[in-house]
Amino acid sequence: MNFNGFEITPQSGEAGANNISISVPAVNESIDKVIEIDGVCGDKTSRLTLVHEGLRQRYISADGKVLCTSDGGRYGVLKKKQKIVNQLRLAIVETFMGLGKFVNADNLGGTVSWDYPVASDVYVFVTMESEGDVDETALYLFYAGEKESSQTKYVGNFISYRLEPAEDETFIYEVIITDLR
Amino acid sequence: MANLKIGKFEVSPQSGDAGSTQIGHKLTERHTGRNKYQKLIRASITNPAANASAIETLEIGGLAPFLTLNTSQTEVAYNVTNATINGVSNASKFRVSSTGKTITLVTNTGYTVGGNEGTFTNGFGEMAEGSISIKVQFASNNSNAAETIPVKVEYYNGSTWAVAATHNIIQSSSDADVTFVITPSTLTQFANTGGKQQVSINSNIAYSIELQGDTETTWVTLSRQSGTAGTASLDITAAAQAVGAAARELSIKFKNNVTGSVIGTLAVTQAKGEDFAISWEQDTLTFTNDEVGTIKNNTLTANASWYLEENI
Repeated sequence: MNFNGFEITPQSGEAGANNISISVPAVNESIDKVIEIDGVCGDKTSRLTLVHEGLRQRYISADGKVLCTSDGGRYGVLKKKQKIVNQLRLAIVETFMGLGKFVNADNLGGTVSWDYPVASDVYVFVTMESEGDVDETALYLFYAGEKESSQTKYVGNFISYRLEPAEDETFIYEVIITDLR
Repeated sequence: MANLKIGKFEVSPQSGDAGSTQIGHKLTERHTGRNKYQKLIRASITNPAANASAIETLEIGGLAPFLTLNTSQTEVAYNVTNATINGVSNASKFRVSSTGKTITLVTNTGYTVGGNEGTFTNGFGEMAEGSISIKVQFASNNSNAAETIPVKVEYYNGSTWAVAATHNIIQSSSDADVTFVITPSTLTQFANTGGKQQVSINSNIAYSIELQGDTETTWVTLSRQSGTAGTASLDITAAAQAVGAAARELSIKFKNNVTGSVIGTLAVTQAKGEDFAISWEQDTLTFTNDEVGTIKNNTLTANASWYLEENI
């Protein structure tokens, strides 16, 4: 059976210990895909979380221009940047500051919302400066997400890469938002 | 194309190619809860890069509250002062009354008592019907004639009280010249694995033995169905409970062969079956893009039949 991109066999069975085979049939070119599968037995359920890691592998091997660093590896080698959507800058910065996403180095998911129309996936580059020196640069990826009925509020998933500022340092965040399409 | 099981639904086909595809939906079992039953199904493009999906909602409306009784009457000996009335319901509460002898609703598993009104445990009946056991108490019958106690059982249908049924408790007359002693006078509760218990019966008259009290009595077998004056043993054997089964009970009635009146009773109870259980060996599995096509195994252990569905 295919459950949202995961092949899982069998889908049902009898009492006892059952071997469940799980695979992913294709490369995930998107962000991490996470689904939850419930095993149901009478009135009891047991939940299995399946993760198919996405994007990060795709951008490791591009054209050699490193745009951000991460946990020992290098990510975010992008081939093109077509336009800057300046009006998103402030909202995004405020969102980052509000969510404090720089704190947890392993935080690879979450949701964010902003009040501007986002027509497609958006990449955000964040440069962190400390005492005038560029400390680290990170890539944030926003997915356009689903439009709500108001047509003004958008909610999407984002993936963040590792940045580890010391707690007592002051940082300046410079955000450039790039629509890659 | 395979079918996809989602709760009480089956959906087919489970996959397909580009274009418009008619998807069949089948309801495979009744929904007996009074609340709405709902399942979500996600249809997604196979290519992960597409990141596109559509969610469908399948619903079954709640079943109107009801309460049915398994039997219409119970026979008890003259000195028995309580009886259990079994049935099935998805209601939130019930009440009892009698136009004959005074009865009192007493606490039993599954409900709390306020006067003659019983309130089922919170959540009972919302998503599925369940077994009920209403216990009532009354005075013994010391007269020389049998007494019938008509117990009217009503349930709350969400706005008003509705009559479920009237259950007659027939209390035999006191018969001074009959000696009938069961030792021990009560049985211990049978484990859900089943088992056997033995009692000794001393009687000065011939008697018959029968099982009463519920629609299903085949889970209990007796070593004999009748007896004569004297002392003799009786073996009572209970079968094992199925996984997930509710606790159950019935009554063994000993009747005077001449008058037909009940001269002794013995309650048989059995614990509920083993709870359903299911667990994954690993609760999270992660794939990287280097592992496309790699099969990872995970052991799912359950004590009854099971199926998988996506939590949406």
